[in-house]
Amino acid sequence: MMKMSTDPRQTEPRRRWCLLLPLVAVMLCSGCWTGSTEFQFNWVYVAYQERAVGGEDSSDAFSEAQIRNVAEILAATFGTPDKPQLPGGLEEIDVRELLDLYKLNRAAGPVGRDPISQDVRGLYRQHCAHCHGVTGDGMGPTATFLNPYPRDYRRGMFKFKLTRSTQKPNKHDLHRILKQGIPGTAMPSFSLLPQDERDALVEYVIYLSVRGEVERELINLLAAGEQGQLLLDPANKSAASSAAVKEVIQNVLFSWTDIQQIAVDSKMPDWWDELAGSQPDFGSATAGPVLDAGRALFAGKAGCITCHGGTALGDAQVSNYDKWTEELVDAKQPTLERKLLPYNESYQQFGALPPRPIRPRNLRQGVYRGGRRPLDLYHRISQGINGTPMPNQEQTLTPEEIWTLVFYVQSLPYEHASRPATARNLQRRRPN
Amino acid sequence: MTGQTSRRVSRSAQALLLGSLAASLLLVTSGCTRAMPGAVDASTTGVTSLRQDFELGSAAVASVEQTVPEPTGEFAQLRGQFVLTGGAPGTLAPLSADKDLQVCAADGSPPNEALVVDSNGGMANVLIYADPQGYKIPIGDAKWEHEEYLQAPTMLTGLAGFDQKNCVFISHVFAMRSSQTLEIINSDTVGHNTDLQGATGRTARENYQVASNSTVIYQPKNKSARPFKVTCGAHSWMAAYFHVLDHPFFAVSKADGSFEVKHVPCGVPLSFRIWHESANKLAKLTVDGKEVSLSNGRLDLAEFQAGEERVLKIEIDVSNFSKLFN
Repeated sequence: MMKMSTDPRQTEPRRRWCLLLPLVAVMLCSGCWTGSTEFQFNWVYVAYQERAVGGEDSSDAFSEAQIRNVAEILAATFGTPDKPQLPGGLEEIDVRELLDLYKLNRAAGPVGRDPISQDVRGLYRQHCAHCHGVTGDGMGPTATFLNPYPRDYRRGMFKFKLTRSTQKPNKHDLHRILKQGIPGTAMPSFSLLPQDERDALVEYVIYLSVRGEVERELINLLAAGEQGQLLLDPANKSAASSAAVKEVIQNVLFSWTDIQQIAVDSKMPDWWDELAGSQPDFGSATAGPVLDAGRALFAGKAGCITCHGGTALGDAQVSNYDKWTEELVDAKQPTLERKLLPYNESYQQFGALPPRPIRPRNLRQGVYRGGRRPLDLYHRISQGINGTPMPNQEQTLTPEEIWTLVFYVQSLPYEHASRPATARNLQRRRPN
Repeated sequence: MTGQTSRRVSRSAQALLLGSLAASLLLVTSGCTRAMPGAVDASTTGVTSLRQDFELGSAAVASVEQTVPEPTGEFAQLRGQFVLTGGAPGTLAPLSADKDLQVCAADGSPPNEALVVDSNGGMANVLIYADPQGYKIPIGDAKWEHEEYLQAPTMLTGLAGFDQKNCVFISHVFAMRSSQTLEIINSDTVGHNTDLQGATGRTARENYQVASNSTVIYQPKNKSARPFKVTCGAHSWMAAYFHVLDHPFFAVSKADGSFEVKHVPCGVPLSFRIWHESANKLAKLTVDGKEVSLSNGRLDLAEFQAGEERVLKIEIDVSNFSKLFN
């Protein structure tokens, strides 16, 4: 027994630990260390387009030179993660009216401070990149563990905003999301950051989104063009090809400038102040008819039950995919296995996350991702949610009907799903 | 005793440390081996040269000005038929309705319209539209647009609108001008959720709730970059294709494969794009018995003469639809 104490494990513990270190290093290098910070190419979309081309030439629809050409155009117009640039030479739209290069530089680059001005830099990589990825592709290292997945900015679609229907958000909308986070998801609140740092991040998110959308459109342009032809051939310059690329960039920028803020009809219904003003009272006698009207709209004209279900548990339409995911699945196929075939065969190897169907919100939980103010709920119903099946009801419902629905939806968490009609009559009044 | 205890403690602590290290390594490596797509190496010289061209416009680019040709002010008619050749295609898997069956599957399962061919080979739902090379068609110019187009109603309603019945989009392929306004109609007794979020270019993206037996109004405002898919959020099998053009020279083939583009301007080089949702890149067609090779569906046509009535028989081989029948 005493001999055991002379075991080298006891006398030279340090040396054994040293042996482990190289092993850790090797494993880290092989699996986890991504090395230099570069924008990832949208290989998933290239694969998607290759499948869409079909026929014999589908596998080599795009040549290596074409892909490099697209990457070079992107680098020439938008720069790198360390040094963002803005596309110049556009005739129709001045990009500097949308994006501020000074703010972009604060959000870009490695985490640290500017050596001269001592301004904080690298905000995006410090706060966002681990989920949303350096490229803004929603494929950061932690993305795979999250449900819902982090947003992929490259589609240029954002859900929670106060602008019209499927238009882009404005900077206030993005700022609100940064400040308040998104309840029910992994997106936290960044209200502890100074306002100017959040402003810089908003700017950078728009930059990544514009860049990603332009990348997709350039790949579309390749797919529509001739086999093997470069978009912008440095050896064979032509006005037509340069105009085509500029049009793509300007179209994307246009969508960010053509934004219409929706003014919610400020004329609230007469009953609003009494029933829902400071403290909603779903049990009062006057609330009864409003809730009945709301329930009728929910099941009837507004069509909410199509997806959210008769019980509002969000269980009626569970096989849809949102706009970010639907490209990865073959929705026409009858079985789940065959729906996922394109993903398993191809997109998986390019880093795409496993597709999940989009779940309609369970309205009994009282968790509203886009904000729980009546105004937020009004917008979700009136304008729909961009990128999802939630539609625009502006032409179907009157403002009064939408407010009625808002009140009804607000009451749902306090009503028993199993006996909705009687639950209200039980007078669940507040104790005092 | 105390020495032994502490040794045992330290040894078990060591084992615990080693174990947790191994476990964390396993976690770390398993979590991170997810394939990453990777960046593409861009050559610095390429990037610099492209940036200079872009910002300043190099001499070579500036010298090639885009010129719009001048038509004579007279007009011709283009008619024709799309025919599928090369034997009978395989059978398409039927679509399966899984919801609102009393309305959507009242007459059996909804039709699969990925390729619609009549008994004579006539192909429906082929879109043909002018897409000239090297210039853009001016809009609202009397030399380009016949009076009929200039005075055409801008509101597409009723039969000219976009209807859905029995959970099928009546117009499976639909084309319109960006200056027009469209009535989206629901003739069903269930609500539909007409989704135009996939619109391309600057065309307005929308996703409408259309209550049963009612309509909504859609204004595309701008032309789209290419045809795009329209779906229904409530009924996942429903699909149609839209294209929004700024000029009026387009047509969608009818059930027998016939199409008509009225009042084509004369005396200018025109090419037409032929598009079908299920076709591969169209590289070869037979036009009036002669084989023509084209780039991705772009068909060049000889200049039209005043009053000419051109009739084209365009044959598309079934091999162009290989991806449908895998």
